[in-house]
Amino acid sequence: MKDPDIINIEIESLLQSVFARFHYDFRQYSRSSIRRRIEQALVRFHCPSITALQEKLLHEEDFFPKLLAYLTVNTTELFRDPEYFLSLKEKVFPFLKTFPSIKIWIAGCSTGEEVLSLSILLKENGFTKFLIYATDINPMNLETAKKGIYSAEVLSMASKNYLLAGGKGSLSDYYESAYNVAQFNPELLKQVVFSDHSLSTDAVFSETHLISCRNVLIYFEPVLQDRVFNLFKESLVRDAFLGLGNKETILFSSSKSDFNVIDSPNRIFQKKGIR
Amino acid sequence: MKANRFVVVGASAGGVDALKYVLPSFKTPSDYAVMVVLHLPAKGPNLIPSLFESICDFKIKEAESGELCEAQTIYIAPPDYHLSLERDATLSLSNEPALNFSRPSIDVLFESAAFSQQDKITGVLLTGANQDGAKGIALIHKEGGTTLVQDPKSAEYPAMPQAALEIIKPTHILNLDQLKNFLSEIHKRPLP
Amino acid sequence: MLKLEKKPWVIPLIVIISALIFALDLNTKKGSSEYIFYFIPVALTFLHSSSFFPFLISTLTTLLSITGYLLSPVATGFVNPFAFQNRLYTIFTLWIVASLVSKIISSRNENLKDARLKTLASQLQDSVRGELSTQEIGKNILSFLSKEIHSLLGVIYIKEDQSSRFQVAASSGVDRNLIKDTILSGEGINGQVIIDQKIVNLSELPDEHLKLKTSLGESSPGAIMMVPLVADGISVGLLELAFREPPNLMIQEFFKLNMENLAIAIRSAMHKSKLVVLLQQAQQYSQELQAQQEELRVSNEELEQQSNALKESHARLENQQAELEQSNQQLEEQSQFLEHQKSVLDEKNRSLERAQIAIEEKGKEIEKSSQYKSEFLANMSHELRTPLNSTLILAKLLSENKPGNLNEEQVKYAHIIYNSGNDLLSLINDILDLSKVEAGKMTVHPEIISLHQVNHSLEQMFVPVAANKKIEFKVILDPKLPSTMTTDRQRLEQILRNFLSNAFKFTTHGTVTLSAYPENGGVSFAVKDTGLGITPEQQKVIFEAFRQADGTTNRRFGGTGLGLSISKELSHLLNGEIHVESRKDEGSTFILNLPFDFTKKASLPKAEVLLTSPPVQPKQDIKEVIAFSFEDDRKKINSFPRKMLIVEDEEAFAKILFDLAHELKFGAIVANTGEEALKMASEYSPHAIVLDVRLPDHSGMIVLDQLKSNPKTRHIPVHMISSEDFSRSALEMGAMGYLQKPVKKEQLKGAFEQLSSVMEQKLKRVLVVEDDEIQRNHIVGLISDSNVEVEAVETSKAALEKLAKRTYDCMIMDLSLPDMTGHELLAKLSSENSVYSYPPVIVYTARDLTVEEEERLRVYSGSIIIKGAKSPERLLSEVTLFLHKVETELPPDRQKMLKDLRNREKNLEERKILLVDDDVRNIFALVSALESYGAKTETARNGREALEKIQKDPEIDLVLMDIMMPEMDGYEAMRRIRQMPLHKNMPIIALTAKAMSDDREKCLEAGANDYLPKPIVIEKLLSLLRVWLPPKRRFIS
Repeated sequence: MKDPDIINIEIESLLQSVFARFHYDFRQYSRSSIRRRIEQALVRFHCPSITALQEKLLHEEDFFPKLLAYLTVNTTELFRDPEYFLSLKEKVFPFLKTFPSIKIWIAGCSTGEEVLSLSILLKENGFTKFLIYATDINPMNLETAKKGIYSAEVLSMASKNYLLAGGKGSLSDYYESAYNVAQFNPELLKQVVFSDHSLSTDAVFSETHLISCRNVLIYFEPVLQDRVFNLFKESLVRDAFLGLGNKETILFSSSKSDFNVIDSPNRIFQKKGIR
Repeated sequence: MKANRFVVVGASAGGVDALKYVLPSFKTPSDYAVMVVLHLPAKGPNLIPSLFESICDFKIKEAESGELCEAQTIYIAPPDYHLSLERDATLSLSNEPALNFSRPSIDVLFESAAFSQQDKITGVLLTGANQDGAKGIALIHKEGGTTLVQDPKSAEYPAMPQAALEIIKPTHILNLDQLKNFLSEIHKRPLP
Repeated sequence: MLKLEKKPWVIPLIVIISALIFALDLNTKKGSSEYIFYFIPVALTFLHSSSFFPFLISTLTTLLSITGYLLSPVATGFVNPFAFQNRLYTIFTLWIVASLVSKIISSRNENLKDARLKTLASQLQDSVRGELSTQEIGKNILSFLSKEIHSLLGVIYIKEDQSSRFQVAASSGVDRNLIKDTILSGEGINGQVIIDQKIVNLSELPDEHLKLKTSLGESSPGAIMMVPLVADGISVGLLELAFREPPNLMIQEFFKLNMENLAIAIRSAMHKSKLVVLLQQAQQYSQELQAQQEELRVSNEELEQQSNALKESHARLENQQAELEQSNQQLEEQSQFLEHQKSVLDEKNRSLERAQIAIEEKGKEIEKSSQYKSEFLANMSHELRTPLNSTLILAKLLSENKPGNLNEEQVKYAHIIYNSGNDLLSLINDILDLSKVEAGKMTVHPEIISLHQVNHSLEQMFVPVAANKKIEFKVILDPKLPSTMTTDRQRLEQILRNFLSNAFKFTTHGTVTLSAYPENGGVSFAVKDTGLGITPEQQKVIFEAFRQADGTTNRRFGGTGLGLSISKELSHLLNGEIHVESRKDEGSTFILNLPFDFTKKASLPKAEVLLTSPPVQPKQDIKEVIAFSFEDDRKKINSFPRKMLIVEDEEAFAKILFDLAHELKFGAIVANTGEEALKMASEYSPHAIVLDVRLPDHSGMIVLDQLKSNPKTRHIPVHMISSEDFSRSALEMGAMGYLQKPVKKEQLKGAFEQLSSVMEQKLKRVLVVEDDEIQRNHIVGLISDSNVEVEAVETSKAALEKLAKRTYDCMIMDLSLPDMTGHELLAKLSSENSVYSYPPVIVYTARDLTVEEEERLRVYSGSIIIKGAKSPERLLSEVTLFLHKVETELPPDRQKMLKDLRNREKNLEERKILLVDDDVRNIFALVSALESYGAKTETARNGREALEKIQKDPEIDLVLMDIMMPEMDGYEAMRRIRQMPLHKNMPIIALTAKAMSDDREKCLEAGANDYLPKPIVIEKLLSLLRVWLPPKRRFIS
């Protein structure tokens, strides 16, 4: 292992290049995690140093998408943390019913499992006029998400979690499986807009009534977390909701006074109406 | 108060008993913060903070993402998340794939600590039945931190400390009583 | 206290009655039977508590009766032969009665005692009930005993788990240090009691026993009682108590009855604490088990992977063999390939040569064009100077104000024009010089000059400057120098003048030295100062034109920053060289080396700039803010009844606002940065704030946002002033009003008056329009409050009547009203010549709105609430918000504002713009902005709708296209529009939230004419519209 200072300089330079050339801004991502992922990329692409990787990045066409897959973490599953969904259903949905129509933003949707989960729950609970914006920085993830096809191996765990999340029927009502994959009903994704969007550089695109952004902020440095919370604040209408991953909180950020805690263990917050 | 120096602790099988020695040995006032990785299953509960609360001088809690490392506090890695220490002494969590088949992984914590805080780190590797933590403690050693490895003879499961000893000669090899003595005086050591 | 109640009056009563009967007996003759009354005292003894008492009294009465018989006078002539016998019978009966009474008393006593013991026992039970530790139980028992049976001292020992030791659990009345901490079963009296399991009483204690100590003295307790606490035959503890007197039987019985219960309570507490420990242990084990399971899983996975790896390596080995054979073949192929490559390389070399030639040609072209540029600059600067000169002259004339017809202010302005003109002139001069040199147009006029003269003339020029700045100025001429040299005197002096004026500019105290000395066969002129110094980074760039080291240095010290660049060029012209030696904060030395003879170039020492560079000093903060020259009211602010905070960084405008505030009787304090503004707002709590948007540190919008999010300042009305139009967002964020610069004084005055009127308004008024009585009452009840006046009406007509008469802070309305729909009502309110006040509206309805309905309503109201389980909560939140905002958003003003916005942009009038966006908020904002400029708008919520609208409506002049939309996104829609033959030239402006610059390319590729990033700035949108809207079609006949 080399001198940390030098590695840090190399990382900064690499991230700067990524930003300048491709406009993906990883400069305010938690350094430890991004370092580990770059180191994995070094092994994968047989680069002796980060500088060598940078050389490849700048001069080899079509290399960046490959690197991007390494820079982002995609850990997700259908109805992951069912208590979160149950809490949405019980504490948030009744409130959302008071809006004539609702918009939901799933920021960092990865390969779309959470989009499907939420879409199923919304339908089961009588929402018809809703729109989900599912955004991620990795276009390849979005392509996967749009298909709604997942490996059949995950179904048993997913079915269990679906019930724990307050599902009213059986998860099998929503998919057909064959050849060891499950194709979810395309109707579920009809009210979903998938789009490439970066929380670190891009602006708010719409007003929303619920933002679910889980296990994304853990990769951001506090400054970037603050930026994201400001984006969310800007997007959320009064009295709208924000759901985070179960180890994430708004309470260390400067935005904490703008939100009320609705469900502390499940990390659900509500934007205050009166400021 | 923000912590100046850090102790990172890694333990696996047999770790609860060993932690019962290690965690209560930290005495206040101190400028140290402690971070602990204990291998636990992803979906299980983390009882460590509640179990140790009454016997520790330091405050003990599960680490949260973005939290600033306070002195006199013990942070336990939550199950299913890697824990890292950053350059600005904040903690970060991550869902990256398991390392050494473990999440949280001891290597992740140790390497991030060595990288970000170099000689302000004291690494403590305890009992366990795999090789997690060996590479990490070697990096702490290389970056000028203090390294303490539990004497494999005194460990319930010797494989983990043994694996570390095969790579480095740590600052000290100690049994649990010696470790306890060392750590209870650690805040009196001069700053690096 | 365990004693029965006594009635002290019983004995005297009985004695008196007996005495009376005796007296009566004495005074009557034998034979009369008044002694029969002796039954009364005997019967009365039942009032006494002792069962012996009846016998005592019957003895007494027997004696009295006999005595009475003996002493009674004998009746004359008659002796009742039965009198004596009768008495005997009576006495006998007395005794029977006495024994009956005695029985009653004793059984009554038993009952009383039992009841008392039972109460005590149950109280004792109460005191040990609950989740208590053994210590707590001990403490409770002792305090109970000392209260109820007046024990003086007490100690409780409780058995330790699995040992024969008994540990003190609690004590009362005794110093803990004076008693034994533990006792062993069988050791000493205590130990014996534990083994015997019998209560032991000790009285007549020896002196060394514990004393009862109070602050007044000490005394020995009279008796000790030791109670073993035994549960199911096992001693679990020992209770030792001290009393003043030996405890009575009842107390002893109390303990006999209760020692088992106490023991059981203690035992269960012992069990409980054991359970807690066990539970913790169990949790620990489970956690450890989990850790081990995890480990097992890890090892399993590891093993699996290793076996996979083994299989893999086996396969790999087999595979390698096959590969080796292949690679032999490959090698052959490669050598052929290499040969081929060599020929390709040769070809490449040739083309490289060609490219080099082309590059050389290009280089020449570039050189030429740079020269053209310089020439152009030189000419241009000259052209500029001519009109500027006349401006200067006229300004000077004006400032002199010879006719005396200008007032002081106007004279000041003229001065400013003159000074600014001068600055501009010197900048132009510098540019002219520089470009002349660069264009090679500067000529050198060498002559033989006297060094002394040069020095002298410079000395003459700068001595006054030095005196003025109180800096020492030294001029040193090395005697070893020859007296003359050959060079262009004018240029030499220009360089040195520049050095010197810089030195004086950047030196605040110390010395400036000009010295000349021989060096390397030439002459060196050095100007040394003790000023700011220059960092190595700055040293690299100070000689480069238009790249002054630090923008702020320039601003603070004046000058164009071109002087050094010119000097450098001039020195080259004179065959010389300039270099600088400097340390930050230690001053600088600028050195000019020239040959003695202009025609012969001197050999110059290599500039040591980089070698002598000191460590870098941190750059000072760029945003330095200069305090205003006028003093505001902060020192005497408390003498004003009303305070105003003015946030403005332009001094002149700040002064105008300041004076205006005074005119309207406000005390005013002025902040010139956002930071300061926030600080002062919370420190002084002004009654009103006037806020400029453009501030040196951060935008006024941020300041507004922070003011509105701080509970301490959010109630303060804020009026915004700026040269940009942020009015809509400012009003949304809670500003009370917005003025766009340049501002007229009347407008300012209006704004200030509005501020003061807001301060006076207090009670909030809410209008509720709802036809259902129950609902109406429900809403009224929900929002009523001492600060809110709620008026409720049933119909639209009634609502309009109310709105015509007065203004409301907020209106809550249902959509379905009997006489007019909610839509109609709202349309009526917002129509342009409406006579009604138009407060913020909350739509509160049970109707399930369609998307179109929602969109239509959103034009009038930002808050639409569908009734449901959580709707009262939301209604309350929205109402509170509006009532809060009221202070800052007066309805009449809002209307005026909208009118002001109208007609500013003629270009847009009657043009039709299709707005494609799915975000209602965005649509609303853009539609109202565009319509306020007279444009007509159409909206579409996604790409598909947009295509339909475009095909249907030929009037559409331009499309604003969002990218992220459901059904069909913006890229796709633009591509399709471009494929329509009729619309392939339709101007399209793409709107996107993406920050990537290649997103712009993507939009353009898809067919957009231009691109506007979100959040949308209206100003920018307008200028894009101006660019892309084709000129208005004329009517062609």
